[in-house]
Amino acid sequence: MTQHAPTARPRVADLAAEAVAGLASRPARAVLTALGTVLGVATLVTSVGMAQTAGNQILTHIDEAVATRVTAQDAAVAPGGPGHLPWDSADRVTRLPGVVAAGATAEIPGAQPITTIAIGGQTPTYPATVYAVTPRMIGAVQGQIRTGRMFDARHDHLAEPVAVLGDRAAGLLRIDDVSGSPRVFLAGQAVTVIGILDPIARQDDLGDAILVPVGYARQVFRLPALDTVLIRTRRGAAPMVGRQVGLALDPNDPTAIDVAAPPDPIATRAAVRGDVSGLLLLLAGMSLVIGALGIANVTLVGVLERRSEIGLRNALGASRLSLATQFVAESGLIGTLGGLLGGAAGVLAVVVLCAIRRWVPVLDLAYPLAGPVLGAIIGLAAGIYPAWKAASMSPIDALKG
Amino acid sequence: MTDDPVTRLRSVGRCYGSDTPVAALVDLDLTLHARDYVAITGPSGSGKSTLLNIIGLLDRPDEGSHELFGQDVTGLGERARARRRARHLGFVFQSFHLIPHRSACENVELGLLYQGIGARRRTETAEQVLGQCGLGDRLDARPTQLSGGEQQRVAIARALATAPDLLVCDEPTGNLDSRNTRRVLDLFDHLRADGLTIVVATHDPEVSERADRVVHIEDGRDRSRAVAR
Repeated sequence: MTQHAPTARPRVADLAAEAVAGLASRPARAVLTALGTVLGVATLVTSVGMAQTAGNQILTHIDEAVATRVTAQDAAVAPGGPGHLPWDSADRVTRLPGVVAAGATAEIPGAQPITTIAIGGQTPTYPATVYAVTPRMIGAVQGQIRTGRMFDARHDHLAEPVAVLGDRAAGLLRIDDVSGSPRVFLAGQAVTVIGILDPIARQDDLGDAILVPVGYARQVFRLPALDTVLIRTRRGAAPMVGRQVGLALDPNDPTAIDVAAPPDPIATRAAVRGDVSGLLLLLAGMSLVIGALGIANVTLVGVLERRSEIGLRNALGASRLSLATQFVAESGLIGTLGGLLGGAAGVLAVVVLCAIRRWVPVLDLAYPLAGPVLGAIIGLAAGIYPAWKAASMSPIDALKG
Repeated sequence: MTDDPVTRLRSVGRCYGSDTPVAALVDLDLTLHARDYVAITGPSGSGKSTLLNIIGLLDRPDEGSHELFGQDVTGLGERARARRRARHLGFVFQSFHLIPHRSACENVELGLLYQGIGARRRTETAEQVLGQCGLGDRLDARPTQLSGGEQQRVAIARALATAPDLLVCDEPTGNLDSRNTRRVLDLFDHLRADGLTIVVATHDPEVSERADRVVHIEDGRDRSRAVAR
């Protein structure tokens, strides 16, 4: 017979090949055993993917106008009542980083009634709101002048009796051209209409308004203070501006200023991801535990079914470590297979669900790529007990089958 | 190899059970020298298999000592015993113990796996030994495609592939018809002639007649008288 120079130690690669051969001999069982891990990893990848996708959708749904709008009001002011914001509110806020434009306003209750020139002996009144506004307020609400012009700092400074009409107010007053310097009477005080606004999506209520310079309102209607500051920020800067505007308007008591700013989209996205993924991750975790138990159970049954083979390997010189390694490797391979299939299934599920919802799928590739690793860990852990059973089996009892 | 006997058992005893112990072997001495061909006979339950298990390092005696090539292996740890099984011993079982989903060649290769031999050399050796056992044309056959005699010859080839010093056979012809029994025994004769040490536990007189020496066990004790051939 051939003489060898044996080391009496199996090579690691050979033990791995034995594990593969062991699984290949029962392919259907191997696939079914891996199903638990497939479901667990697929659920995990799908849940993370859908959470990331849903979070991304939040950003898509928060439109430009909402995301860049900040409004500051005097917290103590009663609805329609006088505020006490400083006259230079707009200038203070404009100096804040991230602010594109800002304008201050105050409603002028004393400007009612609103009338025009008597028609046929009648002097009709019109239901419009009169606001004192700073000149750059139009920029803050992204308003456009349809005809004429907006009053400027000079009008404000000189308290000139001029007005700009919202689009619906102009229609109500039947003024569509300012070239003839039409006049409107505010509590009997004549103001010259110098411009008409286009509809303003960002601040729709201005469509019903008549805007006059703050300087004019102070002088003629004794406007006591401003009550609202409208701010347009750069995209992404609104939450930060919102946190600073109170301090800018009232350094002694920033809490006296009510600030309405959009939520931080990144925080919102994270919160949505957290809400969506929390429950699904729990389900994924449960699936993985069930998967691990499935692998452990089937591997244990396999050990009992292969008692005779274990006894034979023992007789052929397999150490307990070799036997344990083989069974742990088999369960680890099943777990890896499950993780691989689960990761692929998870990616597919995210793509299909997003296609149905017409969403753009967003998924960190680290998750599906980590699937086989996670599966391997689960498989290896699940194989420890069956492997210990195999290794501690008496070779004599095992050979009896 | 030294001049020490392949295996020497001195005053070996083995009991099973703890509440009411049953003595499987009592004060048994046995020495196997190189090239011995020894048959162990006796009725069922007499202790033949227990004796083979101790010789094959699958079991330990409760009393006495066991030497392998002059080295006391009685108290060796499991890992060291496994290494010695791989290096020195070959096993042939009554029920063949072939892995059903592997070919004859792969089954024989398994015997070489735990010697740390590479895959290519395992295959070459397995093919060579199967050819020597008359199965050169059945390399790829699964056990279910083989007759009982062929399966036992595959099992013998598996044991021989590792070039063992001692072939331990437990009822090797117990599941074979007379024609296949003779074929296996002829193979043993050839191996014996080539210098292999063989110990066979058997009920079959045809097997014991071919051995150099017969050790008869009853109630765990050696009741034999050596039969010189």
